[in-house]
Amino acid sequence: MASAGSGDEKAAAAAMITLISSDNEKFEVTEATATLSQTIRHMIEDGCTDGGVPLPNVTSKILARVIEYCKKHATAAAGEEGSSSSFSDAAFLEVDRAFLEELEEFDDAFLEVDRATLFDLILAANYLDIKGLLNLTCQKVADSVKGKTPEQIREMYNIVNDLTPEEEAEIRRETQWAFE
Amino acid sequence: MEADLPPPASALMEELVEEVLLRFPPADPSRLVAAALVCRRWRALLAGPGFRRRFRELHRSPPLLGLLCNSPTGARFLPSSAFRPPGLPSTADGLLRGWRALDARHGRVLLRWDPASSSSSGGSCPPLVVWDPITDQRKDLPPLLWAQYPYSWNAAVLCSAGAAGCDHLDCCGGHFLVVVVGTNSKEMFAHVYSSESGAWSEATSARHPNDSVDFAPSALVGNALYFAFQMDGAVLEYDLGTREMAVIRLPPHCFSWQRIALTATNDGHLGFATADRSAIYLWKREASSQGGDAHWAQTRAIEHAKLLPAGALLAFPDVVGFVDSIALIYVRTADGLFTVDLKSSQVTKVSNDTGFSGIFPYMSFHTPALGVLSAGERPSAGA
Repeated sequence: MASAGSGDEKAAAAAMITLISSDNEKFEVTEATATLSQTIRHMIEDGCTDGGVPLPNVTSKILARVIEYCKKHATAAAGEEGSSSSFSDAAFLEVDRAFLEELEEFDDAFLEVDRATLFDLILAANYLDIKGLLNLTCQKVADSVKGKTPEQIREMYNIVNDLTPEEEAEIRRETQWAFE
Repeated sequence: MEADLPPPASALMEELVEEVLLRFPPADPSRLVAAALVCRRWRALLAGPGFRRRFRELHRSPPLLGLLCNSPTGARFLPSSAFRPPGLPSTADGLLRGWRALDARHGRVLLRWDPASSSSSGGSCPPLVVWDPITDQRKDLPPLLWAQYPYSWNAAVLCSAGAAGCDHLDCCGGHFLVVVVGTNSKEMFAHVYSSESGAWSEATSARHPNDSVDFAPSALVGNALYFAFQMDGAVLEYDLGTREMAVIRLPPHCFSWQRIALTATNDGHLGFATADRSAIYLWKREASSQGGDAHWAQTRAIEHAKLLPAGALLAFPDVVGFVDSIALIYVRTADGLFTVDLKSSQVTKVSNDTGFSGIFPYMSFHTPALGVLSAGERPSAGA
């Protein structure tokens, strides 16, 4: 009787989820932060989060970084929603721009990691289905091979060239414009 | 525990390399080619239909690969990226000698045969060809007989699905329409060629507008094509559904004699850009909220002096192209051809040439179609 709708919503907003890394470290996060992950969102919807969410594919080191990302982006999303009705258009745009700039700076700093960490972040983003983080990290790798030759890309990513010289010649012939 | 160790880099490259390759920039297709040369797996991935589709869906707006520029000797492909049409020998400097571009849309280019030496083609339209610069496929259209020799004409090419049922991200290999409109002493007329039927339609006609259509880029908005008239501040509208023609008046600010460049605006309206001595103006045709006739609204004015170098302003500039989807306008000046980026206001010189008569931006996705590139017909360039 006493619990009105708004009270329930408040309780839900403050609900905490426990995430458990592969090395058994526990992380308490708000539901708003955790649900940036579609994987965790579905687990919450299915009611399978009591007693914590085990994430056997993610180490504590990487999970801490992922949570850092989700916290920042969840706050930004909430800020945008909250501000839309409380500012005049011009002021709203100003706040919006400030948010976006801050978020961009955060993302840039977030990506200042070594290659192994970046790869682990991609794998975690994929496993947890966090679209923004997957996009951010994959774009970083895509940008990192800009201007690189096939040999340089192989070296960077430890890839063995299994194309025969004939196959290479065929690709070059079919895409001759790219080599002029 | 071994299972807890982070997977090595190569594991990522196995599983998620596609996510990385999808984020290569469409405007620089040579980077996908470099990736195809890394290993078999990458090559197979890049050449597959799944990647082709997902790459287009992720990026949505096809990038500018180049510009067809009509010069007195022929149409020249001016590259905007590393891409060069495989059918144009590098020795020809991108020139399709004797051909003139009429339109470029949905990954296809419409060309007309127009060698300097040819005499009038008499009772029929000059030979038309639809060319895909990426695959180098070309389709010669059957001759179009004029009912009456036209004072003026222009033509457009588009995917046969028009506005409906196709996102035009990857329809280059499918069926297309070519629409020819013009004016003669009696009336204005339109013919439609469909690659599906392989034939020209009967002409439809409408009352004479006392004007001539210009050889300038057309605009496809909704299910209608728009062509600029030369003199009177008006636009020819051809409805692809009803096949009816109409004359749309430009805003009553006497744009007479001033060239306009039509575009489909990003929010789905007809728009145009034009210039006078002091500024470039962008206009948009909006539906009236009261359900009455659509009306024109000026959306932006950009002063030349803020954009163009002083040398370019010796004669007053002419807007010759406007592509809202990539936020570019093309301006011909005394000092050559420039692009103005409408988002960044950045001005870039595209060409020193001022002797061209028309330009057609060519936009298309280009993922390496390895193993399927046809060695078939090529446009008869050079010669």
